[in-house]
Amino acid sequence: MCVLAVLCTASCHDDRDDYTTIASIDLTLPDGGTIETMQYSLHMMNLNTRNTVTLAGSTHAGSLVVGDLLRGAYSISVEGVVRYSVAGAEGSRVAQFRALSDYVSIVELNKNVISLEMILMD
Amino acid sequence: MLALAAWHIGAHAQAVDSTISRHDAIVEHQSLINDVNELTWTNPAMKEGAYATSLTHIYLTAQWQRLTKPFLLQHGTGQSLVAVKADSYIRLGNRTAVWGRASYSTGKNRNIKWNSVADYDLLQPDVLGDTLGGNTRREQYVFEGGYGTHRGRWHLGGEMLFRAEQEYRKVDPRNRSIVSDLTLRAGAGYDIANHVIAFALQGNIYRQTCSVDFYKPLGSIPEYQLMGLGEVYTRFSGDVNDLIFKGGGIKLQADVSPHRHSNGVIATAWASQHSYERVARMLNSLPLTTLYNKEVGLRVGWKHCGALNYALWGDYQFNRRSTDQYLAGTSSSQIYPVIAHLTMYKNYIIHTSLTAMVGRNGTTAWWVKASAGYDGNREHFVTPRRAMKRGHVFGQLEGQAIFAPSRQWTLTTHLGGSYHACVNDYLLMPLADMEPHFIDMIKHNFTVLSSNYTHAGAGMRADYHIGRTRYSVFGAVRYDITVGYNRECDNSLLFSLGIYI
Repeated sequence: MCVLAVLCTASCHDDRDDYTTIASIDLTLPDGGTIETMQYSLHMMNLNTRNTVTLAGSTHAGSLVVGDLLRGAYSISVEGVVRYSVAGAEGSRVAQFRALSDYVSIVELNKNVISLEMILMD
Repeated sequence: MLALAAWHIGAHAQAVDSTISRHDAIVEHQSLINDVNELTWTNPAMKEGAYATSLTHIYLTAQWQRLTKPFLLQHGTGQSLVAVKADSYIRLGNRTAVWGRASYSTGKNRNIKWNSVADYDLLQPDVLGDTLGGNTRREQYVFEGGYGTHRGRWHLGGEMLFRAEQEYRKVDPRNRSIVSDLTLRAGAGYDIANHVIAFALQGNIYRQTCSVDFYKPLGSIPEYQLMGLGEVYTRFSGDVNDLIFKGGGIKLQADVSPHRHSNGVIATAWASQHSYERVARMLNSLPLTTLYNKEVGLRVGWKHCGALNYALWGDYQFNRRSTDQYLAGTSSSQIYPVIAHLTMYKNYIIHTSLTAMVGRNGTTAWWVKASAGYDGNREHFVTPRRAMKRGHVFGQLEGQAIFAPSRQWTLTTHLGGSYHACVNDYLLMPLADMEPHFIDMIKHNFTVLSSNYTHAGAGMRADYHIGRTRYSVFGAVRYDITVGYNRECDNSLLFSLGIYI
């Protein structure tokens, strides 16, 4: 019986229980410049389950952190309004933006960093 | 004249002897007490000591099964099956025995829904399914053969079992499944203190190809890659209709059994792991899911042979099934890389029971068997969370009588009944996110699985021993009825007709 138990545990397949991870989406302006404040609406669709995670908010940084995300392949779409300043120019500008990616792999266990370039609409 | 008379008496005596010995063979092979050893005799090293007599059957069977309403939707509402079978156990002397089985069955399953693959009970919930379903036709070939011997105190045995099956439908959705299932067993044992202690190793290779076609251009419906409790692998559901299941596994077993006609301990312990991978052929053999099935089991009991024979044993079996889902990355020219895999579905099945038997073999043999126990099954899908649990307590009573009304006849009668009461059940489903036909399927299956049910069965077999030959003919009939939820019935009738030597 002991031999059986040992053999069973040794050859047993282990469950893969690491279901969730954290993704950090870094948005960058197209011609350099710093983001002062941003209002965004983020949609992340899991390509395997077709479930969509939606997040809306505002931030002073250019980075959006999404936690408790099921690992897998995603398509990402962010849109909103950004106030930014360009180096060497006076004052700050406001523009609507969009950032898209139709495939991103979010499988790392600790942190996944995704860089997206913003497309300014104005 | 004297010589002729002597030959006549001798031949008659031989005929009489052979009818008695054929009756004894029937009693030995068909006796209900053999249930005590049903697990130890799967070890080929043990099976050599199973019977003292040889018996070979060749027979036809016809089976009808009808359900008033489907129990499990994936099992359908009945079947009609015709088969020709040969079953043999032959003693080659005191130390060696060979045994084998061959059969061909063909028939029809009715109203199978939500399942387009063969071997649903083996591969569930990782199957291909659709909402339409229908009748399927089925053919099965089985070949089994084994050899066992003992030399001194050592026992050795080997066995091979092969099953090929085909299941198909001639109307849309046209499914076609072809199964091949090969199992090899080897066993070795040693005599200690009037018992045989034996170990066995079993290996299994399993393959199934399954495809679903639609001939009507506007009539195609999505085929879902089901993953458990109504969950679907959304990305590859719809038109990925060409699957291969490949898998297999190993099993280790240890057995203890007393020698024939001795008292002693009967014990079996086993552990096994099997896996079945579902591969999408048209996506460059992308694996979609793998089902892992791990089992441990234990049977411990005592068998007593005397004026009155009795046996008492307890069973425990734990079965852990889980599904790993493979997450696919982007596609470039239909080649999807697997970027990760997660265990999304878990299923725990437990079976415990205690059984007692009393009776005796002989010219008139009778047996009474009673058992009681608990069956529990809980399954869940990790995210989005779905869960289903049910547990049944059951009691079962069976009786058998074998007697010889005259020298030419042997009659076997069998009666049994059981009652399963559901003592706990639980269902958790994200109904807001589910499509209506999935909700109906889950609700129906849960109602069936968590209901109380009663089963009763009766059978009779009549053997006519043709005097002065080694042959006998037999006919048997068996009727079973299961009454489940809402008093819906499952009726089954089985006829057998054949010869044996």
